[in-house]
Amino acid sequence: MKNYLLNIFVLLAICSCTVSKPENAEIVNEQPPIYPDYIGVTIPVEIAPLDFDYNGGEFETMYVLAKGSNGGELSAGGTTIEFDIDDWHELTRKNQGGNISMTVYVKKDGKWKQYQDFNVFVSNYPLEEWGLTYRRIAPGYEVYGKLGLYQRDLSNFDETPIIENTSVAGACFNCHTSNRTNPDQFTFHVRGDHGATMVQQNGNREWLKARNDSLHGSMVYPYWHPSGKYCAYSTNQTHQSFHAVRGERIEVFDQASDVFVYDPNTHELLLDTLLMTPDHYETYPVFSPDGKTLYFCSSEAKPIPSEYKEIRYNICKIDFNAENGTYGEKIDTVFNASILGKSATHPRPSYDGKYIMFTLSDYGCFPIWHNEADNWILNLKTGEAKPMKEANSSQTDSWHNWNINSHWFVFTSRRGNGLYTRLYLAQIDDHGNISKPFLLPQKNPATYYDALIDSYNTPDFTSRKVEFDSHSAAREITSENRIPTTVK
Amino acid sequence: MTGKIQKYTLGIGFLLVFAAIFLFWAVGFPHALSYQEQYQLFLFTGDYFMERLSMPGGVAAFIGEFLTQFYYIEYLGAFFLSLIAISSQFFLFLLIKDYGKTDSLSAFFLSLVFPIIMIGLMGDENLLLSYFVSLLAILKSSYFFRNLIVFADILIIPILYWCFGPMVWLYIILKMGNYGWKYASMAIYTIILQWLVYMVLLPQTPWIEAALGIYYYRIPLPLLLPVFPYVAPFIIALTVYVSKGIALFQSSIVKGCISFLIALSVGFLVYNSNPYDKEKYELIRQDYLVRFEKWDEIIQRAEKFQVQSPFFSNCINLALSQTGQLAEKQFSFYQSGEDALLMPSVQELFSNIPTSEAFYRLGMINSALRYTFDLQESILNGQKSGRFCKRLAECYLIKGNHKVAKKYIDLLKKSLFYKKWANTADKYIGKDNMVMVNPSWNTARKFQFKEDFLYHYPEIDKMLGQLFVNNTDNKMALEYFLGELLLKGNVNEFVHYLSWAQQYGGYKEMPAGYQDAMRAIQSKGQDLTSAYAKYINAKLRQNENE
Repeated sequence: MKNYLLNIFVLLAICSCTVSKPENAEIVNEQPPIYPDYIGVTIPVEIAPLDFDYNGGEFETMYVLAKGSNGGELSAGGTTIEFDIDDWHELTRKNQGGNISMTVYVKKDGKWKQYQDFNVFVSNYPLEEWGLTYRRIAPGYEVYGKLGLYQRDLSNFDETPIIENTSVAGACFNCHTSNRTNPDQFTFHVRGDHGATMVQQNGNREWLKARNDSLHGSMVYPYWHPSGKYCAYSTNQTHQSFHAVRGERIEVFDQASDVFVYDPNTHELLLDTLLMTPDHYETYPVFSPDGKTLYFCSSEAKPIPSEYKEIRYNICKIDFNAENGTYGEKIDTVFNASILGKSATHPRPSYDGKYIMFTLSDYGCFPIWHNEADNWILNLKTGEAKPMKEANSSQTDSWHNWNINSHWFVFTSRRGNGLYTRLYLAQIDDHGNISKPFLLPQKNPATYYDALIDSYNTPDFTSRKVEFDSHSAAREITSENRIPTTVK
Repeated sequence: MTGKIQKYTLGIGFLLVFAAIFLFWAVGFPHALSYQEQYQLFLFTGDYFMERLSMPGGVAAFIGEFLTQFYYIEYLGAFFLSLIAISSQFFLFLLIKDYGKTDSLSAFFLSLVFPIIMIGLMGDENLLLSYFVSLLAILKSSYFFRNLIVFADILIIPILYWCFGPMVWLYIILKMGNYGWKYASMAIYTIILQWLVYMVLLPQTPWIEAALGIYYYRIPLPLLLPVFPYVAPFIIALTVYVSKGIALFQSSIVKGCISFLIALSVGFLVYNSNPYDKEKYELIRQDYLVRFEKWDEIIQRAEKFQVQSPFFSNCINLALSQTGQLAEKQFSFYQSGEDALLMPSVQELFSNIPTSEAFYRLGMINSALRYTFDLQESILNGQKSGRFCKRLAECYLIKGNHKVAKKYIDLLKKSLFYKKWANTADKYIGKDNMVMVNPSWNTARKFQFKEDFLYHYPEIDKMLGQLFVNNTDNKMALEYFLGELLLKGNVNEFVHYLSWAQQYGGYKEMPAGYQDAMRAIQSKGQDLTSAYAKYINAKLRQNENE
């Protein structure tokens, strides 16, 4: 409803101010200071328009001419640049594999300046997904206010809630995970008085008991088996502490954690002593794209919190047999971060089987609050791991997910201001080259992101819009009807 | 002539009611207004307006929040509240006159029910002004549309519902007084309308809020359903109905007396329900005084009345500290226990305010930030707070994170009463050397911890000691450190570190409070003249009982 009303106002605003191409503009030998920094980024066809704002101080108005290398032209003007969505899509379609050259004119003190053109590259790799899912929450400490799971149509600016905690007062939703971007199967965890793990398959929802006596805690950090027959979770005894000095904020650590696989058809937990060792913390389980391997992170258990800085996770793997739900008999280390004095978390295998993307930080299992955290990529064929320099920043870069063709990924970064995480998308080509990431497009982006006092987290792609009956779900959450899980 | 006298009498009557309500808020309960104001941040932005407009009751919420921002200046807030009360009373008066065909004086007396109920209801600190805006709008609509054909209500009811929420039911009830059961179809129509709106337009709203109002109460209704706000509209409707019965009496004096008695009875019931709990409102007043740094008034009030709660102890100790009297008088006032100086984190919107204020002044900026952030997130209707946003911006400036500070400053720039401060603070953005020139921000920055560790509340005394060691100019940290040792009963450490007070405290002589504590320690709690001995003996008894 709010969006409809806003659209009407925006339409009126656009109609009331049009700027024509300036004549005799002074040429400036530099690139335009714009927000977001879309200079030289690579985008998929039919992404939402890269609207932007001028970031170079006081000005009167601006004008932008977007020209495609394969033809097509588009212009926009005003105090903020807003391209027409249909025209923008047409321009990107026409220039797939080419580029769009942007000429920016800015009027300051009554005089027009023309900045150096910059290019936006239009990728040959399609983005096959409808959009993104993510959680929006204020980056708080011990209290969560209004939050929700949302979905965003990537071809435009429409964001709709999947479920907000206004529907169930006091509830916290996290880790929304679909199966390989397909929302026919998804799961998330509910914290709070009505805690549960929700599993929805083909429209049928089940609410699992938040806890099982055989587990240390509740079922979190899920990842679906590609067959859809299983879902891996970890169970963590998570605690948080707060730093005293000005550059630091929160420290989240596990005092115990294990990994297991859940069978939604039988409500059974497939446990294994190799994944539940008392002297190690196991967490963040993920399946390989062929479903034959279960990757996870593992750290030697140390006294917490006294030695929290000594907790360092490696990426490990164990065989998994989907036919009978059994594990292999040995654990292998895929990436040994601890010998580098680092900790590797959030592994995400690409769906084409080539890579594992993960986050590397100095220590611990929760790099989201670590400024030094960067995303790395491990080439499974060569075994070579390297930081994703093109996409990383000096601030926290963490939680990431692949799109289904494994040429696009989304991740969270605090690069904007050091606190509020925003979503960035980037491309990786067949040779492993990574493009400059671009901030999730928004209409009137400077105002939008400045006014937004939520962080984005746990983003993932979704092949189509998630169908979720939030009224019924809210009733089910408060009903306390829960399905118990049993150990196989 | 009689008509003119009656008119003037009525005018004076309304004026007196206006004045009484104004004085009630401006003089008696300005702190209640401050409380309301600090849990919202009205923004002059299109997005804010649209967000309200997109939900049923949103117009009332927008107007209510717009007016609530004026509570920042108590007299303005009291003026607007009185205006709402008197306007609502006036329309109730007109409805009573019209419906009951009674005389003006008895209608006036009966209409007093409204301001009485309003004062009573507002004792519930979670009831929002949008509730009264809705009441006013519905009473006004009920009067102006009283003779409109029923058919017109097919359009009017949805508009009223969308603008003012389920208070539209008062309109229906009042109309039923005129049209009787014939109007029942409109009630069914409204139920269907509300159900449709809930199903189609409110996917993220619980049914109880769709039915009873989204913007009337700060706490989500599934968590806490207050009774009186939902009974009150029926009482108001009843006063209109009752007027018909009163009109049957011939004598104006009898009619006036009955009406006055009814108003008096409602007043008696409201008074008996004790809407302004003394202790609760004393804490709200202490918070108000802390907010505006009226330290002497906090101490003066505490000398007359003390609430036995950690919140109160935190306020009085902060006031003593800011006036240089903590070392002298800490144990002259009620001390709640180990949390009397600084409380552990509590997940609600009020209790941690004085602790966050103390952290800020101590230079424990990370903790001040954390407490303030969580306080803001604890506002259960999802509102932000001007007071808390301002503090967050200050903390980030002190920490040197100008980009995040700017985010809050930009937000405050869109408000009315925080705009001036935000514009001034904006000049500091990106100029860290200017922050270092600002006396309070620079002091807080200098007082911050130099070496990192993980905050651990059970070791708050050690953290305070460390804070003082970081910067021996931080006298507040020294007094909080020694005070915390006494609160915990760590007497050996207190005796050990008392030399710091002599060395760094700048006292001409050992403060009376520390002398008192030493007497208690030396006499092993037997010195009954010692305030600290009383505290520590009570603590020991409590520990034994536990």
